[in-house]
Amino acid sequence: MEKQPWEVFQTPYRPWWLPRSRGVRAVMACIVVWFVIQLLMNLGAFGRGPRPWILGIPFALFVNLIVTLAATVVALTLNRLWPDFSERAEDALRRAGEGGR
Amino acid sequence: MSVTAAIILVTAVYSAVCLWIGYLGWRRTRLTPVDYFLAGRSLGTFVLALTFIATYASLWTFYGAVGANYRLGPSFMSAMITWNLIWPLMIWVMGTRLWVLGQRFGCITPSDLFAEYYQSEAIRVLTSVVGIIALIPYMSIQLLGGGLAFEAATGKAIPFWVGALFMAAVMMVYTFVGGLRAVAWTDVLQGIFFLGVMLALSVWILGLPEGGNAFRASAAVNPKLFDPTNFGWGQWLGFVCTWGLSPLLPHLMQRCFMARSARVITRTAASLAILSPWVQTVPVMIVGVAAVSILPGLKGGDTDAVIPLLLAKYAPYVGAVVVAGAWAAGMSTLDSQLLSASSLVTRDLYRYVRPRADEKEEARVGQLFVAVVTVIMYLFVLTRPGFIVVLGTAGAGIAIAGYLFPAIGVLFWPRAGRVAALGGLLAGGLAAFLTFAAWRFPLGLHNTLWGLLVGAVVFLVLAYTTPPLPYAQQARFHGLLAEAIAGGRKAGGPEAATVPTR
Repeated sequence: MEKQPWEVFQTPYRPWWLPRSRGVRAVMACIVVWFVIQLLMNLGAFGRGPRPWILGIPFALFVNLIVTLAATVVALTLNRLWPDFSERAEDALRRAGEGGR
Repeated sequence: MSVTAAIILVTAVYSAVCLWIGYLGWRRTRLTPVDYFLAGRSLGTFVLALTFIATYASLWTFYGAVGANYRLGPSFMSAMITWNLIWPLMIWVMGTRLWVLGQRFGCITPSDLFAEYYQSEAIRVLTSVVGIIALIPYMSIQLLGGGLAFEAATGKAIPFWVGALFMAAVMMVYTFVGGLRAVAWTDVLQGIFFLGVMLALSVWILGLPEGGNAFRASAAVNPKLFDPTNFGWGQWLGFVCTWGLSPLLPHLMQRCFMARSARVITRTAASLAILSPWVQTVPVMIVGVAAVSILPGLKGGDTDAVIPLLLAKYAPYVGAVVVAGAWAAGMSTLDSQLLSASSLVTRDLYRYVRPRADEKEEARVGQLFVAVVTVIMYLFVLTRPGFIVVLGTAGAGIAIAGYLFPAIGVLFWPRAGRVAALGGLLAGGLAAFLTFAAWRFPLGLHNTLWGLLVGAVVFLVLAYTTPPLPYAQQARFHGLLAEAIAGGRKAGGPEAATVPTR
């Protein structure tokens, strides 16, 4: 049996789980903060009763909706932070060959 | 006209439109696997976003999620809105990479991708089997729910077997003839219809005399309704992980292969980040929570019937449109899963029966499988076996906990080799299955979480103790991804950076 070389291809975005650009890192950090707020609220860290009511909405639900709205807006900026992905991907595919379309 | 007649009329018109769309799809579809299963990788943002959301939202969103909001209040919505924002983000993170690799290597199914990267027929077969295990019971639940909804809405004038038969027949015909084009185009209709019905219901319920100040009225009826801890954290986290990672499910993963261009996939993710949390989740929450004051005292499974009960009380004729809306939600999930299961069998298992089958034969077998599975599924749900629901509910967790690890190796982490991928797939899928079917939710944790935990341990241990793939094979995939995602050719060639780790 052929001996396997113990070599690992090095990607330019090491470690693999960390986004490369600062903008995308900031977006991901915001998403993590939003997720932690949602989880903390589920654990009962705050907003356990409906009071105070804000615009006719109970406090916990209001916070939930506001932070999710903020997270959505932040997530949408990913498209702006990554404007040339499309061209890069098409170029990379062109260089790699016809592909299997 | 009686309510039953109105329901039959609306459903017949809706079905006729679906069949007409199927006919249009048939005229455009060529009998090749790429065209039949992926619409020739030609979908634009509008169709792709709507086929994603229509496939993702099932009958459960219409009945089960409304009932869960009724029982658990915004605590459940906080989970639902969380996973409904995470899964579009996953399309940004994983879907873009899947699209690049799908284009380059001509992948049609998840098994195609995993087998091509890991160069392993065992991974191909196992991925297909796990996918089929996840999909078929889930499909049966949609059919079961569609038949029961029809029976309940018509006051049993139309028996369950007739409603389920009609639903299965319509869905089978347009899927059989038109393939993915028909499925995607009907998904557009079904997605708009379903989301429109849900939005209209939420506006309507707030306009009812009892619904004007719905949240305060519901808090008066059930003071604990707004406690965010109602939905225990083990389940909260499990549901968020399951549905947040749902782009790993075969029928959703295949949608990432269908985009016409890289721009389409990122725009689709952006559209879904708005549609899924805000147009799908919030109306469901409003209907479920407002119903607490309007229909107090419902318990357990009865809460799933909130919408039919509301309509029976206030607007029986509107029920006809709502039944069609529920059918739209069920059919749009069912047809996509059916076609996905068909592709898994045709592309990944049939090749062992007929290794030299040409493209036309593959597509024909795919069509045949669509018809055969529909018939088997229909006969199966007629017996209403209890374990369908068990396996169907666990199915999504099994596929997600199994598929995550090979996907990490292909898309992100060259360190993970063949044995690690196989071990993660087996351990994750098996743990998710056993912690649902044999030992339900140990320590209060959802079965998907158990699958992910066990799978992660096995995957990591094996990734660090067994050899990675040959370097050239890693570079073929990760070099391309490095160029497409991070830019530049620096990382692409073997000379760029080899890191001997031993």
